Amino acid sequence: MLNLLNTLASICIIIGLFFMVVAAIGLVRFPDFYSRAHACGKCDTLGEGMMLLGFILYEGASLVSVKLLLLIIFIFVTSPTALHAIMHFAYTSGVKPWKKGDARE
Amino acid sequence: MIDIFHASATILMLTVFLCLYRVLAGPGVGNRLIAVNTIGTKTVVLLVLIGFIYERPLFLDISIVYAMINFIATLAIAKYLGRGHIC
Amino acid sequence: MNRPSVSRYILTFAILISFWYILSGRPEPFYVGSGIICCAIVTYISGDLLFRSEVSILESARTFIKFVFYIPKLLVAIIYANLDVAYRVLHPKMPIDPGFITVDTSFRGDVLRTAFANAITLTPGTVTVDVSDGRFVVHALVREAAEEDLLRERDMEHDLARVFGEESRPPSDETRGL
Repeated sequence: MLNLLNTLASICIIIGLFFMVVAAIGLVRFPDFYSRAHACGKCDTLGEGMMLLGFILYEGASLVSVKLLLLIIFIFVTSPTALHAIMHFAYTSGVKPWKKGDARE
Repeated sequence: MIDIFHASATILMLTVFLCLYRVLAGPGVGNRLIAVNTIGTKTVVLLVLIGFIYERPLFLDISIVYAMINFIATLAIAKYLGRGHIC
Repeated sequence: MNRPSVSRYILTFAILISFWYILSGRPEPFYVGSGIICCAIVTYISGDLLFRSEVSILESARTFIKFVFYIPKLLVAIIYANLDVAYRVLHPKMPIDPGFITVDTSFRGDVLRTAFANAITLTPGTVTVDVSDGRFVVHALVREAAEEDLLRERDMEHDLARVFGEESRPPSDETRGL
């Protein structure tokens, strides 16, 4: 039983790690500001959620798990909001979007 | 299990360096701000990982506070850049 | 100015004190006592922020429960979106065709607009950029696919409108690429 839970936790942590690495690679590779926001806004949120879910499975039922669950809910609410604030600033200050065929920045 | 924690902490450090490249190179304020926000979310997970590796649950509280500070700092900087004042 | 009723204050105080207990995790009298004092001060200052006075508590609870039942569907969309972005990031040729699209909705409530904007941000290929009077400016990673989802099918809009008890207007065919 404990072994199964630990295996599940490892799988969750590895999936989350994959998404966080993808977010960093997208931040470097994508051509313009808005596409970079796609990469780090989505993949970072899910990657962090999956990793914390893995820690919950590893820890079992305790006060630490409740705290981790609160952290997951907090991140799923605030991460898109922060991203939206940055994108709104960029949109109103006139950052140009990249069109297909343009040169990379 | 602890090996997985060590390995993931190392990989997270490397991804933080990838984001740091965007902070240094990224044209304009927006790119830098988004990269800093991403580094913040990775730091939250790193703090939880440190707590589990050294078996100190206190680091979890630090990571919660860091998540809040990361959110509020990003909001405040975006608002300041957009309007020129915060309040 | 109509003061919020006492039950709202009591509910806010209960939520705050349970948060305090989860975060501190110590049942000793000193910690619980300081928690009670802090929560009382916070409740006195900002008791009418969590439950606003124009919405009844029962209605808020019903909306919250309906939203909890909507979460699994949202999670599936989030995972699909992440796989999509991961595929586009890791593909050597990077098959993206970004652009802006505009979505018109008839949403009025602030919470509903926030939920819809966050749902757009977390679902495949789209990020909300600007909101004004129910008009959402959305940046799409692949423009055609996002137009298909948001302007023609409008699944998510109908779902959220049902969850929060607002009518969503029948889709108007006014599509405008920026």
